[in-house]
Amino acid sequence: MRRSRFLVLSLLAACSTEPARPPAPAASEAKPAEAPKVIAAVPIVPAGKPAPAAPADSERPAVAADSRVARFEALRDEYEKAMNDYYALFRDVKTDEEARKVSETAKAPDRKAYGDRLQVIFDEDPADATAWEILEWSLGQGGDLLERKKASAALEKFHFEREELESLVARLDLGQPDIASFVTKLSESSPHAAVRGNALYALATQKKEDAELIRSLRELSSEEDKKNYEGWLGAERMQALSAADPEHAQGEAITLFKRVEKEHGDVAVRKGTPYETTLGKRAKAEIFEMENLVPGKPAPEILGEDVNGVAFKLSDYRGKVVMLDFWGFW
Amino acid sequence: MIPHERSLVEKLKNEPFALIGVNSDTDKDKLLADMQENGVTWRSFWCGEKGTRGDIPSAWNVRGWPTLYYIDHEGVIRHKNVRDEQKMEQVIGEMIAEAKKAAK
Repeated sequence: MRRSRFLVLSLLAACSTEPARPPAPAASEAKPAEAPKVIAAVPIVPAGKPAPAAPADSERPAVAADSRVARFEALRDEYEKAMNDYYALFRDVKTDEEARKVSETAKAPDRKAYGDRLQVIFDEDPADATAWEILEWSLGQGGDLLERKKASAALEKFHFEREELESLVARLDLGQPDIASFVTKLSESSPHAAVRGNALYALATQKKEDAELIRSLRELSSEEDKKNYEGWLGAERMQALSAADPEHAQGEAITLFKRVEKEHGDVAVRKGTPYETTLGKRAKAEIFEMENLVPGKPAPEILGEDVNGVAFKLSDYRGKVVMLDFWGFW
Repeated sequence: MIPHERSLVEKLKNEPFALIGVNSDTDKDKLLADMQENGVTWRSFWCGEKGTRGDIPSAWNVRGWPTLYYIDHEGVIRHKNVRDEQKMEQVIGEMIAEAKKAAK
């Protein structure tokens, strides 16, 4: 959490071709880590055949080293090690200046090369269980290792009915039109209620993030900041967001969250963890935030104790300008 | 973040300004030691052992840390998540000027 904003953006700039989907600058989920964070009018391919059964038991224990699964897993492990080694170079950095120096001398892993190798394995069969494993993993790595259109098409054509999409949708980059289109179809037509609910929730969240992004873009002052955002978003999306109305995007978000509350309120999320809740409760909190915790609204009162156990209120500071900072050392 | 906040608090100590934290570390003893070591002198609500799931971050739907709200002297939210240091000082300066004008 203590990484500087510049550090996050400089890592992205250093990682070769297309930027990975980053967490929005300096706003990443702490406990637990939600992962840092897709074609118009294509008719839905009806009920593709169910995913092929897992390999027979006789094949399982000794997976041949050159089998497709083994090749994917080896590539995955190689990639993750390369990325971890690269990020480790920044771990002891204490200032933006040091971060800048490291990013200039360190050699970032060639993500395009990894993507090309992954694409070869994926293209051998985009429909089977291994293809799903590849999609699931690569979408968590920024979503740009595989060619986007091929990945979206495969998701829609061969993996549409998977129940695991329930948790995957939150990690997809809905800023990409083909992904957004895929998730919209999921919200309408997945055979699983939990997938439909989580898909709609993801669409609502994206709208909310768009509204916040539009507001952030309006507050940018330095050219460097503008360039960093453009590198992350791409010129087209940057232009579209810069011209958009945040109130309108927020209104759309609220409408979608209200639909989640009404149509999917009981869907449980984070089951079996201390964070277990429902989509309805989450949506309600999001609506509250967008309607009340925005510029122009009175700040709700806060009653609590400080670190010394002394009770106090936010309103004790009326008459002063207050910077309210939700923080931690972790 | 913390070094800049330290300098902000020092710079504005004679102004109608308060940096108020809402802390979600769960180990109180470690927190107090870390605050001392890092020169965190400003007041924070402590969320107890529920940490990031505490009552205050839940009520404010905080899903990412740090999250910042800028509230004027009348208790109205004016900005959210301004993190650029220059911009931060600018908006705080503007709100302080308003507070002083109102106090006349």
